Parts: sequence; C-alpha cells; structure tokens
Amino acid sequence: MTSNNRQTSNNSNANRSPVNGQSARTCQFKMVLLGESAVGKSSLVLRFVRGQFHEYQESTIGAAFLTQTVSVDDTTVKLELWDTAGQERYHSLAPMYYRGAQAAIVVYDITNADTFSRAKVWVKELQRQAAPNIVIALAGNKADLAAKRQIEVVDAQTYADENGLIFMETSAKTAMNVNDIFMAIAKKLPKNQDSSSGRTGNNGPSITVDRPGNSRAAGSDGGCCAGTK
Amino acid sequence: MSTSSNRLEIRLKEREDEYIRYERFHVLVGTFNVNNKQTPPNILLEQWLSQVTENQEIEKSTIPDIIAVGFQEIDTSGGAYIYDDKKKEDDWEHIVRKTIAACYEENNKKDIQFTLLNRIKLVGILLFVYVRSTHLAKCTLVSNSTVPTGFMGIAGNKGGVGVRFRFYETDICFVNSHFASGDGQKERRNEDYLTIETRMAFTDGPIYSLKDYIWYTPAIVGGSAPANPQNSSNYSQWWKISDHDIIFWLGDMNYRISQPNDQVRKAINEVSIAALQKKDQLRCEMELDRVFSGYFEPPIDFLPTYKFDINTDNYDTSEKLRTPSWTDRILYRSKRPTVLINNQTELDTIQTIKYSSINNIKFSDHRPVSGLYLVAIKYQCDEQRSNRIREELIREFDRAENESIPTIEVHPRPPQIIFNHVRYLDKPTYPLTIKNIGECSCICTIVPSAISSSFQCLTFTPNTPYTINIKQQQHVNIGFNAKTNLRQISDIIILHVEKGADTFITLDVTLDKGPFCLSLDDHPITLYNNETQKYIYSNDRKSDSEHIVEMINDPPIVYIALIDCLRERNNVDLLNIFNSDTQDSLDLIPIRDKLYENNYDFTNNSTGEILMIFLYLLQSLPQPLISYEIQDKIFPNTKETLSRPEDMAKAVSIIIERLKAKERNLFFRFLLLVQKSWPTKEQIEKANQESGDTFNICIDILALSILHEHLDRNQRHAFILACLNEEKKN
Repeated sequence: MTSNNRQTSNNSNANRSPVNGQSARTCQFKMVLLGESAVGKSSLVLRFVRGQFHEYQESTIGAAFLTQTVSVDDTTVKLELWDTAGQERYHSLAPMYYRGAQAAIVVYDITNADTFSRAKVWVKELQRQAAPNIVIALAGNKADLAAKRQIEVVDAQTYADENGLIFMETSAKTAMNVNDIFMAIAKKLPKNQDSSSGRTGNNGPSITVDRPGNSRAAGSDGGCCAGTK
Repeated sequence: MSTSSNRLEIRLKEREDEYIRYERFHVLVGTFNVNNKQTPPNILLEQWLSQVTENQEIEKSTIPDIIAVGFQEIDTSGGAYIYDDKKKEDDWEHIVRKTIAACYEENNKKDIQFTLLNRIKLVGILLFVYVRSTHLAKCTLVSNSTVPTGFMGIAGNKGGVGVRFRFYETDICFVNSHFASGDGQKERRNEDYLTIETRMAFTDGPIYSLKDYIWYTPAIVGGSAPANPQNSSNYSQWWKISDHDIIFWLGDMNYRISQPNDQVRKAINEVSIAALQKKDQLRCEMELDRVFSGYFEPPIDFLPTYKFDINTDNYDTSEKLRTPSWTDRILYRSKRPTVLINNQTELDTIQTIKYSSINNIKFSDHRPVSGLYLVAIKYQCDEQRSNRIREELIREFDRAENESIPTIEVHPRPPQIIFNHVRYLDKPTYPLTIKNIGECSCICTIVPSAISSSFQCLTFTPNTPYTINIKQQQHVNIGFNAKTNLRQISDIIILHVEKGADTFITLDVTLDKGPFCLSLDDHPITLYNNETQKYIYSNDRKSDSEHIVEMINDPPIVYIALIDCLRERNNVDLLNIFNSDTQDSLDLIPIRDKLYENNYDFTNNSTGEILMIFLYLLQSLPQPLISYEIQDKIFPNTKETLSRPEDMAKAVSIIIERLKAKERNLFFRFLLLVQKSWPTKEQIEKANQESGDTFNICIDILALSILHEHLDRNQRHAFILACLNEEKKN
C-alpha cells in the first residue's frame, strides 16, 4: 500500500563521536586495597582519586570506598575502590571486602621488610579465596624513602613475576607510579561483557545476618560492563 | 550505570560550543503541489529554484550546498495506490536534475556538481535531497521514512516523507508532507502533523515493520534502540524528527485563510497581505501551540499560492470558488536557536535569505514556493578538545559521586569497647557518638561482623538504625549484658553506613574470675568436716585438720551453700518469685558479689534473691547441667515429648547412666529443693487467676536453668515435670 523504497545508507560510524552522543562502553569494577597497617593504602587511594597527600593520614578503622573513572582505549572504566583497615585485628573481616572484587592492590612499605612478608600472605590468601580471575597488583609504596629501603626492587619484581602480579614501586607522597599502577590494572581487567560481569566470582553477602544496605560492603555490586548502545 | 554515561553524553553535548566549530552553508528548499499534471515534456522549473538564489543587486547567484525539493500530487490517479509508478518519479527527478544543472552547474566556471543524496516517495508525495558533490563524503547516516495519514490513517494519499542525514556533524532532516484538505479540516491537519511528528522514525539499521514505529519511544539525544527491540539490531541508531539539530518541514499543509472569500480576494487585490496573514489558519494554530511547536516561518510576502485556474493568474473561478490560501509552506526548526560562529558572533542557527512563491510557473493550480536559508552547521569537531572536556566531566562526575557518599565521624576514634572486671549480671555501657560530616543525610546500622560471637549480648540505646541529618549527631549507648557463659570476649562489630563506609568497633570483655561461667569441675573441691558433719564454707582450708575430707563427687560448695540455705528456709514460694513484680524488686548485685567473694552467709538475703542467684549460677554454666548430648539422647526426635510413663523411666535411666557423679548429685539436690517447694494445685490455680501464666513461667525458668536453650520449649517443660513426678515416687 505504501511505497517503501528505503535506501539505507550505512556509512560506518563505529568510531565514537562526541558530537552525536554515541558513548563508548562503560565498565565498572570493584577493587580492594590490602596490606599491613601504615603502608599507605589510604594515601594511594587519596592520591589517585583526589590528588592529595596527607603526611599524617588517619588510620582507617573500617572500610571506605571512593569512585574513580579512567579511560582505557575506548572504554570508560569506573573503579569502585575499597580501602580496608590494615591492622591485624581486622584481618578476619577482609574477606567481606575482597569477595566479589575483580582487582586488588596489595601494598607494602619498601622500608619495612615485615610488611612485605605480610603482603605475600595477602597475595596467597587472595589466590586461594578471592575470585579466580582477580587481577592482583603489588605496590611497594613509600618509594620516596629509598634511603631506608629494606626490600630490593629485584626481590619484589621476582616475587611478582613468579605469581603473575603487576608490580610497581609507588609513592603516594610524590605521586610516582600512582596513576600508573591503577591504569595498569584497569588495562588488564577484562572488558568484554561475559568475563567482567563479576557475578561469577561473587558469592553474595558474606555475612548471613540480615543486614540492611549491606549490598555495597558485601560486594554484590559486581563489576559489569554495559555498552550504552 | 548507563544512566550515568547517558548523563555524561548529555552534558558533553550541552558544552559542544567549546569543541565544535560552526560554518554556515546555504540550504535551498522548494515545495510544489503539481496537481496530478502530466510532466510537461522538457519543462524546466528554473525560476522555482533560481529566484531565491539570485541576488539582483550584485548580479550574482548563490550556489546552494543542499537542495531539498518536495512535490505533492505527482500522480494520485487510481493505479498509484496499487503499484508504484516509478516512471513518474524518475520523470520528476529528471526535471529537477535538469533544473539544477541549468541553475547552477552549467554556465559556471567553477566545477560545480550536485548529487542526489536520497529520494523518497509515498504515493503522490515525493522528496529529493541533493548535495553539492564536494560535500558528499561528509553526508553520513542517510536514511528516509514515510508516514501515511490518508484514508484510515494508512493510505498514502496524504501523509509525509522524510530524509535525514548527518551533514558534517549536524543531524539534518527534511520532511515533505501533504495534509488533509478542505476549509473546515483544520483539526485534521493538526492531527496529520502530530501523526507524522510522532510516528516518523529513521534508523541506520534494517527496518522490520510498522510495529517498530509504534513501539519506538524517543530516548536520549541521538536516539537509541526502540523500546521493543525484539526484532531489531542492537547496534542501530534511531532518530525521530525532533532528534535533529536542523529540521525543514515543507509541503502542502492545506491550511486556509479563515476569512470570507470576497474579503480575501479584495485584500489580495489591494496587496494588504500582512493583515491577511493574521487570518491564516496555520499561523493562528501555531500561535495557539496546537501545531508545529517550536517551528518558525518568516513573514510571508507573496500572494496566496492556491487555487489558480490552470495556466492563468486568476484565483479559482470554478463553481466551488475556493478561498485563496497559503497552502504551500516551508517551516524550520533548530535545536539551538543561536550558535557562536568563530567563538565570537552569536547568530541565528537558521537565517532566511529569501522566502517566495514563483508566479510564472502556471501549469498547476498551486504556485511553487521556495526558500533559501543560511544554516550554521557543526563543521568540525575538535577531538582533542572534546576528549579533554569529556575527561573533565568524568572527573566532575566522580567528584560529585564521591562527595555524595554518606560520611560519618565517630567519637571516640577508634571505637574500642573494653570492659574489664565485668561480673555476671553487670550491664556496662559504652557511649558512642556518630556525627554526620557528609553532604547528605545518612542511615547507620550496627551489625555483627563475619566473626561476631557475642552480638546477642549487646544492646543499643536507642536501637539501630539511625537516620542522621547533615551536620547532626547521634549518641548511642552500647550496652553489654553480661549474662554470658564466656569468660573472655574478643569481637568486632560493624557500624555500617548505607551506601557508605564501614567502621569497625572492637569489643573486648573480661569477666571477673568467680563462680559464674565456671564448669563444676573448675571449682575448688568441696570440703567436708567429718567431726562437725558440716561442709566447709570458708575459703581458707584447714587442710591440716584430720577431720576434713575432700568430697570429689559433691557439687561445688557455692551450690551446696545456696541449696542448703534454701532448704532450711522452708519458705520458697516459687510462684511468687517468678511473678514479675517480685522480679523487679530483686536486687541481685549484693548477693552476686557475695558469691564472687566466697561469702556464703545469706542471713540478710531474701529467699527470692537466693533462689534467683542459684538459678543464674546454673544458667551461667558453660554446659547445661544436663548436657546437650544427654538431652538429645532423651529426645531423639524434635517434636517428641515424654507422654508415657515408660518414656520417663527410660529418661531417668539415661540420666543416671550418663550424668557424671557431681552433676547427678547437684541435679538431685535441685529436684529435691524444687519438689519441696512445689505449689499445690490450689496455689497454682490461684496464681494463674491472679497473674496469667505464672506457673508456666516458673516451669520455663526452672527448665532453662538446667537445660539451657537447646530443646523445644514443650520438651523442656515435659522433662522438668516428668522428673519432678519421678522424684515424688521415689
């Protein structure tokens, strides 16, 4: 009844055009920071997110989170960063936060050999108990205090290589390698829809009591990847 | 999440002035109702197009960049409804082609060429869009669409056709429509507009069915998949007419002049067109915002274009004597009314250069109308700049998101609950202050952590959750109810902020060493003086005395002291003690402290106090007097109670067989005591009349004291009652 001589010209428009609202894909991931107390976990997060550094950073007595979005190639990667308390007393609560995480940064202090041993314990625990495809980075923080170094770069690098970890020495104080280590993780995170959905590695709330609003802490916000087109 | 990225794209578009460079291009638009006339062979419509582009003052012709021409009534003779007469379409295209060539391509020294970008036809409605060939590479995402509004809303004798494409970075759309005719059909025409406006949809993906249109709902700028995308590709984009940056809507709108015919004709003869325009239905309806909302049309300075006697300049002389009207119009709309050119001059996005009708093309009963416009086009996108703005926006969004995270501060910091020297029945409290230091109100709850073992001992006054407004604070008293059978507690609980951070609260409790929470075997061995035939109550043991013997099968001295005292008093009123008024008046702290100090002189204590502290002592045992294992043996099934006599006999034999000597000794002392004080039937009835269920409460407490909370309540009751009966028999 109606003439329908549609001519559909399909000129390629695969590239992102900021003018006409075709956004790139957006992925969201949960990342947790672990390590002995006072190695600089909160400082790394604050340097990365706010570009700030406080010489006397209050010690974390729980688990706090901040959001930071980065661009990796044509993908917008939104990181939900969970900064945990490092004190040994709180160790048993860490699984609540690393469960369901797609990435982890294990931090040690290059001027304190004990913190490196502790970092290795964290790595082992993550390898055993976290999501199987979790991306782990090792950060040797306080690189600005190289004079007081107790852990040689080569030792940490060897350990990282043996365990398939991203490794960088960082300094939250001077900002050295801070963005880099987060970006390195963001690059390594799987951006395809299936593998980054995070639902596979997420065992749901880790505490069984009725806990209103625990979705966030319990990590049910698994990362997910959504093309907006 | 997709909403946040949509938000980003919208904000980015809002700031496009900062990264888009505009250039102005000429757009020529023509509309012509050809009245079903056979195409006159070799006709040229030169003036239709050239009249608007010729600048007589400088004797120079503007070369348009885009030419869109629409025809109505190219052939609505019967056959056209059934099959498409492609030849008519081709004929008209041929004419337009030649006209454009005559106007702009030939006789021009520059190498000027036009290319037909797209054409679309719906029965008699036909639209061609040409672009200068030099721009062809910058024309992308070309698509067309038709919406019939004729007979039953589906016939194509009336309706609209559209062509959209991206010109450089601007989404531009041309719509050619033919609305319902007739003087009184104003509302029908408004309706036709609305139908086309809501139903016309363009896609760069394949089209499946009319359903796609119907289900299509406009989403965000630039379009998205239709709301019901079950049969359309995920990757295609959709546009509605209103999604475009620039829209030209041309056609035979058929709106009339609402004025008596003779007056109209008189006005025409006097060339007082301005007054006549006030009676133009389209103008009036637009002013009332009933149609073409947001569209513009420059003032008309040409005569009504309808209806002429063919090949004359005379308005309709037929019987119908139709009122002359401006049926043929070109309207436009731009998403932004003005743009910044070269970052400094603010100009109208669409500027009309000329809008006119052509009087010497007379083969139709309509006159052709054309307009020339100078249109600001998004010419170039500074990618670097737009990426920088994108990053800036992302940072802004992150900042906003991080600032909107509810944030609290706690005092003391860190919250460490340490209770030392706690005695059984103590209720120490820890004051905690939660202050909202964030940018929004927050909801806090205190929850056990994954390792919590003693959460049930804690009380929160007021109880959680707490809603705390900005800058407000909440005081909470965390109480520890030391009715626990643990001596040492090390725990972490969590102060959780909804959508925010967690704060850990450590809890360390050390209970004083004393008779509570101590298993019978952990008490000192009970001593007995053979000579005086009395138990040794005092703590300093006269071990040198030859008359003193260790009673390894007897319960600890504190139990014996309490039971003996109660038996001596002869006034244990079970029903009264468990009456709530009595309960409230009992202050057990002094007698409790006596037990901690191994002082077993209860002369000043009431019978009620002595009985209650005895029962608490039993409740504080790490394992109940009748161990869980034995309880399970007696009640192998969860629902079973001891209803038959032989069951009870069996239960007693289990107890005798399994219960260790010390426990058995204490258990029978307990039974004897209770037996002795057991109320009579009359007493029970009286008590129950007075205060409800006192008797049951009494049984409940006695049962819980020796069994703890393990069995079903009915089973506990059955057990206690059965034991008492059995004991009576003996």
